[in-house]
Amino acid sequence: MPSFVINEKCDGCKALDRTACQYICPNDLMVLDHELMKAYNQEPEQCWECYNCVKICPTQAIEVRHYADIMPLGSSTFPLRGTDNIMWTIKFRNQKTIKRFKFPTRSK
Amino acid sequence: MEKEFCKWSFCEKPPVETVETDLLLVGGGMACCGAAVEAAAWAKSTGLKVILVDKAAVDRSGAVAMGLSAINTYVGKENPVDDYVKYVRTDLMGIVREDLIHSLGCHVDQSVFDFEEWGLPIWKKDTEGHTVDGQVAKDEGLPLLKDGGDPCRSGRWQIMINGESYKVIVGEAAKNALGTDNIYERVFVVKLLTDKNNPNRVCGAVGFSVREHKAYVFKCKAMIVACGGVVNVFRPRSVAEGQGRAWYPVWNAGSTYAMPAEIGAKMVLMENRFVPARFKDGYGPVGAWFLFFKAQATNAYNEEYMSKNWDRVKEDYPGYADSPGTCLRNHAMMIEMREGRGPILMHTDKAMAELAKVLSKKELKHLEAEAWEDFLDMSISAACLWASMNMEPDKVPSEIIPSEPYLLGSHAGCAGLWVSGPSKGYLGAPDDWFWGYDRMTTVEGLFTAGDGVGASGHKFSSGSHAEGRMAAKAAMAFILDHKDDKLEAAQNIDEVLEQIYLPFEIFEKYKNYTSAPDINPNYLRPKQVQSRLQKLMDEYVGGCSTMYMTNETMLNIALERLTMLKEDAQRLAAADLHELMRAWEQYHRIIAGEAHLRHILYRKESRYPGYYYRSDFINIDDSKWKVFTISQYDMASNEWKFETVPYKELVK
Repeated sequence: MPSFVINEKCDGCKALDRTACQYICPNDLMVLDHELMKAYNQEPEQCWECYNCVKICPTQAIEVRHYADIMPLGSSTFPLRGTDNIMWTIKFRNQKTIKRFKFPTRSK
Repeated sequence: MEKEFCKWSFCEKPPVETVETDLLLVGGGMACCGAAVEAAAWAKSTGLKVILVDKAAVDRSGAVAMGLSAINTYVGKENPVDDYVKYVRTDLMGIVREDLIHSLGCHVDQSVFDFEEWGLPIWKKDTEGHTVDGQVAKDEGLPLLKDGGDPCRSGRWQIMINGESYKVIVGEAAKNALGTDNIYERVFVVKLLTDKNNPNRVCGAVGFSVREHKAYVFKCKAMIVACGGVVNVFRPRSVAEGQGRAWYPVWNAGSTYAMPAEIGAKMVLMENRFVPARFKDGYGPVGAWFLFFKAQATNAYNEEYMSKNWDRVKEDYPGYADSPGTCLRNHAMMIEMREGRGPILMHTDKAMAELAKVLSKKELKHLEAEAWEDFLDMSISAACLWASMNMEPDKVPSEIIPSEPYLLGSHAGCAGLWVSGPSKGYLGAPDDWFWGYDRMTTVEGLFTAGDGVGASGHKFSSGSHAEGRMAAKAAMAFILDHKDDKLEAAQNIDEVLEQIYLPFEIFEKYKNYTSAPDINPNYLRPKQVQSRLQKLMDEYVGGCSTMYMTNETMLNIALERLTMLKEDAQRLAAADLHELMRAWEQYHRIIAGEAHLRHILYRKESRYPGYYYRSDFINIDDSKWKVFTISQYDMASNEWKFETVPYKELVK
């Protein structure tokens, strides 16, 4: 499930000297199109789906469309990572089953 | 084909920054983060300089980049270290360096104590024996592990954590210890340098920025190379985008083995590999389901594959199946698959139903969250797979399957470099297992840790961190002992740079020859090299497509093809810095893959059934092969030498 960037939400991290997703991606996949000022995943078949770009994006512009050769469309798994916890919302393909979990990430 | 040279005619020569340091850390994962903390402590009193180079960002690099749901090596107050050694020995089929494993077992808990102190939430048992997560444990005032706190075990050696931010926490400690001025992120080291007067002495490394057109030369007295194992050297089960969802991190390119091998460091047990049996396609971990939730796995006909086959496994591999090691458990699963009784199903539904009988509604809800967290902390795709297919684990079982092979030395595998033990005669180790400095390779001044150290294994995240600390302490001692050495690189730096940037030169020189840049008779792009390597390894070296089976004839065909691929790799082309990184990753994969192939060819037995089989030598043959197989590559002559060193049991 490679990460994708929603055009409407991505502002190319304009206030910063480098985009957050580009900074964090462990596999150097996220790049900024300087003309459009939008980030994109340049090599989707090398994406580990580690969600680090999703978690770090300041405008929540990045989500994941799961690996096309494996997973049916329609579900979503989305994190909101705070300073000491993470909340996951998981929506099934059937659009009915929704699960929400909150886990600590750092002892305070 | 004619050899290509970079004359900077088509590619501009990059500016070069030379960085001088005492200790150089190549890699930014758990091992090098451990090394950073340890080295920084010794650097303070000795005035030595330490530099860390990572091809990614330390916050989220290495195998723990996504997080982890457990720490798999924590000895604890209840376990004797000797038992840890016996467990690793059994799991790795009897040929391990017990001096390395024992010394690691003595140090690993300190790393876990540090993680907890730095803020990693660790599950605990409260006073009534209930499991609570790391934050609740803190709120309730339960003691820290170092003060005798009681962790939640998911197995004898494993403890559960809330590990989404595991690497962030460990990376932060490393960054604080070294200072950001001493950390070079997004710099990919691809070649090591040796001393002019002593070819068996490391003295530096050369790499390039993947962010700007700039090269780096690092000069050092000692070096720790620890940048993970090898992923994607075999064709994966996935066919397209899913190739990214490898079990181990897809960016682990074998640099830890290839770079030291190129300067003559000896490698050990490179025939070993790890084939993880995991939840199919998403690679979710199975450990917690087996050990913590007590789930059973069956074939298509509801027969439990372990109990059904275990007598047969014992007969096939006498003396090795008394307690079920990882590869033999795979072997039992593969019997069912080969004989057409797959798929193997993990009955998460039945396990949850059993637990529902004894737990309250609230406890059950908590348990469901724990099951999802196990995936969300370390293998998010596995949770997504459930959601995308409308699978609720308490209602339906999930498939598990043995994956494509991986080469590594930190998990349930023991490929790696041949290193010195911790001290002379440690636990009665033979004299030739120690040559002065703990975890030093056979190249002077070159150390490794984690996936780099062979013939050990089962270190996991915590053990890799601890081993990084051990290597760093020894490396600092080495530097102090060799203070007055005058080192000078034997290699001509300009020539090394020409080699590193050759893929740029080739691409620019030939790209306009054809109308489509991907199809050009003058070069191969990294992706094309990767697919050729994966196909030949898969088909001839015991990948998934032959159900992990190979033989001498197949291996010789593989060697012939790999030799030509290695020649063609001199014609790798790269259009940008990202692709230049990929080019060098593929080159490192080829060297690591070649070592694996040649080792399998050399060892004429099937030491690791369930990881791979030599169909021409299907049994384990202790009379000839209870030995360490050691190889040494000579880059100048492109030849490999092999020798064996007898195994010695140190822990009775």
